[in-house]
Amino acid sequence: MKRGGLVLAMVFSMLALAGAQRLAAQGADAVLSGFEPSGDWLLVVADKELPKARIYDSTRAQALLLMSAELPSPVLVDRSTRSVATLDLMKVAERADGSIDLLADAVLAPSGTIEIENRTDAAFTVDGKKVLLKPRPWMLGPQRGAVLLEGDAGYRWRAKRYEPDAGSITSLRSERRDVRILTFFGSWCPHCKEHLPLLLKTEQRLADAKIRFDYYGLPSSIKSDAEATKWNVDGVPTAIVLLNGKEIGRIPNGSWASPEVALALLLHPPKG
Amino acid sequence: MIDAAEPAHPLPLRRRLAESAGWLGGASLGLILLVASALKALDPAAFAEEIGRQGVGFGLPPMAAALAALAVESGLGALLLVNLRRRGVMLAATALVLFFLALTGRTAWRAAHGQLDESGSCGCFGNLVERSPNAAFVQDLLMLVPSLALAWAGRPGATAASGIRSGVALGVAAAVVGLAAAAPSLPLDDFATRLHPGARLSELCAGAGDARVCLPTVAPGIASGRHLVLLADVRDPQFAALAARLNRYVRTGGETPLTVLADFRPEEQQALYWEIAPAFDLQATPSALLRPLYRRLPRGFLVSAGTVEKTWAGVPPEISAATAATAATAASAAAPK
Repeated sequence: MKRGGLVLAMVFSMLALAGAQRLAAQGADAVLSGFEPSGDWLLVVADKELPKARIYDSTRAQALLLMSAELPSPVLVDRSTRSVATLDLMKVAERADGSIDLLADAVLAPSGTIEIENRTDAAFTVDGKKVLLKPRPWMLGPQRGAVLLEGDAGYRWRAKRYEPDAGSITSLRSERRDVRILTFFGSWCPHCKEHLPLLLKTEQRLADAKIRFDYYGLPSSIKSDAEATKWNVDGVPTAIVLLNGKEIGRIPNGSWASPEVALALLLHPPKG
Repeated sequence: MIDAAEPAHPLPLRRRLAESAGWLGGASLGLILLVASALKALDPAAFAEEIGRQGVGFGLPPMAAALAALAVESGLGALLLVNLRRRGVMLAATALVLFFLALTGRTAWRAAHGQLDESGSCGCFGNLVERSPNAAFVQDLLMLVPSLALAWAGRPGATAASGIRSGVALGVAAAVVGLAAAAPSLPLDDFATRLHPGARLSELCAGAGDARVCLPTVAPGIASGRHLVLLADVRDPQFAALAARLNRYVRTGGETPLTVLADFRPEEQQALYWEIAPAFDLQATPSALLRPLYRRLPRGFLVSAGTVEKTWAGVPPEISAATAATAATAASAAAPK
């Protein structure tokens, strides 16, 4: 028994060494860094959905980092080799902006390979538990901004990094009329992922203002949705500005890089 | 009785006026047709795609139909330009104008009845046509019909030079078809597309009004700083091999950040995430925005501070050099000592 344990320990040490060698070969500190919070995936461990699991994505590293109480340790999912490895939580360093780096001396313990199901889901095993990583279901229908931020780590991360234009926020705070911003979005749309968080941050900054923000999630077949048809929406994101219940304009596609500026211009157009 | 007040030779003057007006109308229409066909000849693949989309190939393969259409359009344009407004030429020109009007009219009708989907294929953006189908129809109507109507006036009779002028027109048509055949292999991308050194990303747009989308909206990451950008077709069977090279470039520390712009749907993106495991930034770009930027994919460019600095047909040399060096290193490492 003792000898078996020793052999097992040797095998694991060799596997860990192999992982470490792979890290060294690709420059662990340089490549396995910059993992950004992602809201694109839903983690399922032993058939239990874990919407609160922390999932990080690094394009450059071609890898995802999964962290959940249901997993024995952080799990690195390598897309390029379709392999999975675990690592010590102490080797995971969180930056001030919320992104993650793996420390240079992190040792990856191989934990198996990934099976791709339906072209989009990744299935693998960690510590004997069946793990599935699948695209997060679309957010459809009426939504609140706070719920969107709560439910999508990617939105939260981008919103946190965005600093709205102070002058526009002041201008919007001074609004005393009945203003409603109705925003149609698609949680599947890459451009919404990029731009919607900026509006969510604007809403946060206007928490004490009179302007009301409503959101509506659409499927990718936008025209099949009755609400989209009713408001004549054929693309996302589309933010409709309503003054006393009447539409006065929409944020132009080209203005989503700073939606608060576009809103301020629509509500308080420059005179002359 | 001859009215003494009437000019001595009224008919020749009217005839001369009619001939001048007719020549002006014919030349205008001829010039429009000739310029339009020459521009289309610079990118025959795009023209063939349009013929396929419109379903007007008359049973021919799209490229053959494109070349035939270019020959007819440029030949008629040249005949009108050299004032050879014979009945047959005028009937053919009239048929061509009516055909164009029928096409734009049909598109306008489809748009009015919700049968036209010009939205970006990533599904995010709305209608990205720059001139509405109605506007296109009205513009064609106003540009082509008056010239055509004028061209019918004061048609000259046959002259000894008719044969020479027919030959010239035939030569022009052959030249346009020749240009179309040779164009893909000529270094004309910067002239034939909107993407060329000096172009601002903020000027590379599609759509009109609030729906207008420009490259910095689609790929905010390339709007500032220095980036290599590759326009690619993710549905091309060769894309997996290309993506592997691009991944190598990034993973071996490629100096300039790389972004790939391609037209794909959300579900394709999810599949690509695992299938090609992109180490580069892969951005969904609506075809309406992408198509005017290339004649053939892949096409690369270097952008700095929002302005295009260089363009390449194919993969940028920085990527080719880096991936070739990696391959050579791997080969020498694998070679028996």
